[in-house]
Amino acid sequence: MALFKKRELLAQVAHAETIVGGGVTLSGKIEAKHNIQINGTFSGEIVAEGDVIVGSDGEVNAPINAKNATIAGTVNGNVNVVNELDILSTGKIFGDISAKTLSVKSGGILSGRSIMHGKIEDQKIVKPTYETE
Amino acid sequence: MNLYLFNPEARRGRAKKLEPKIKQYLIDLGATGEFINLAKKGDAGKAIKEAKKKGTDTLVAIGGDGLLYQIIQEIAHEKINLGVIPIGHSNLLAHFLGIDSWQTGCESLVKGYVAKISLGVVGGRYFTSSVEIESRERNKKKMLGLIPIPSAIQYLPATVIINSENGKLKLQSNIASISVISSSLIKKVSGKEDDGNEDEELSIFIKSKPLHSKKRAKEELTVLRGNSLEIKSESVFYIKADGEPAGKTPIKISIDKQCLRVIAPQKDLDIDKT
Repeated sequence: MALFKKRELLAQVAHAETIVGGGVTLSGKIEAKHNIQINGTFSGEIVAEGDVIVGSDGEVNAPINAKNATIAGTVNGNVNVVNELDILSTGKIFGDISAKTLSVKSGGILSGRSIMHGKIEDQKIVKPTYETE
Repeated sequence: MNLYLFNPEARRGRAKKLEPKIKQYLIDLGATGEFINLAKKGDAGKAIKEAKKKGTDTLVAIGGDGLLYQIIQEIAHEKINLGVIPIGHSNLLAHFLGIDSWQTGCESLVKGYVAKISLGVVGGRYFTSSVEIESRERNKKKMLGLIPIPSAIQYLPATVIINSENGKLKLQSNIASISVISSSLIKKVSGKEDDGNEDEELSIFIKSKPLHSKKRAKEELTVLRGNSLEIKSESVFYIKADGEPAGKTPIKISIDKQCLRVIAPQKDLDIDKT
């Protein structure tokens, strides 16, 4: 093989997921059963049964649906995850989000609505203490 | 009756020593047939055409992936079974089938079963394992007649369109090389467990640098999957399928499903049994 040795490449990609390299411009729909990592620019739609990671140089102009997501780059679109959404210090989301747990590191930006869809326990209904006529 | 095609140039000629051992082992197993020693590279094609006229039902490749590459061009979609006795360098197809030695290859002719596998197609040619697309042509000149003169890697702007069940993906970048490998081959060779995804796909690996980047910009790897891909570029990319030259861009690469009958030794392989 030219730049790769066959067996080395096969070993390298045994655990390969979907990766969009830095500086690459990609458009379309990515639907994957595994994890997706975006370090370039992507437009379209992302649907992952695994995790989505947007690298610090990554730019996603698309809605993201995933199990978990870690955002270190820029997302222009809604982000819906089943479990955990982490926005790192360089991460920016311009869109609505929904997650079970959300963490935003210092410097991270979330500009949109957020819906936390975890279990609500010990919900208290507070009654007014004044008397009404 | 079996037709054995022996490539004496496998392993740079060192495979010649194995010929008498293989012949004796086949006799001991009762796997008789006609033995043809391939003197030149083009002899395989001629031998196969003769075999087809005679109505041979099993062709056995005794060599490496290079010999297999020649054979599959002639017998894909034919009712001819392909046996593999690996004596070459890489032997990827043999590994995929679970044939880890020439002895196992001989034994599979007696104890194995016939299965159908898919092949990749590039520029009208079939391939079993991989396609490499490079922006540089390998320099055939050698310094002092001995040392190959390396040619510089170039990053050329190109567009790659990947088709899958979900539609089209369009990729643009400065590309140095693209490797395309059958996903099922990756799983088998790497020992990865079958994740239940029965779709046959191509795994695509692209080495690139950002458009309008400086020379020292870091090379990036992109990994995608699809059923087929097209590569378009104003500059020329050179293509090799299973290590053999297979043309230049623009090119289309796809999968031809279950078009080759092969003899496999093990029954737990994740391939269709006929």
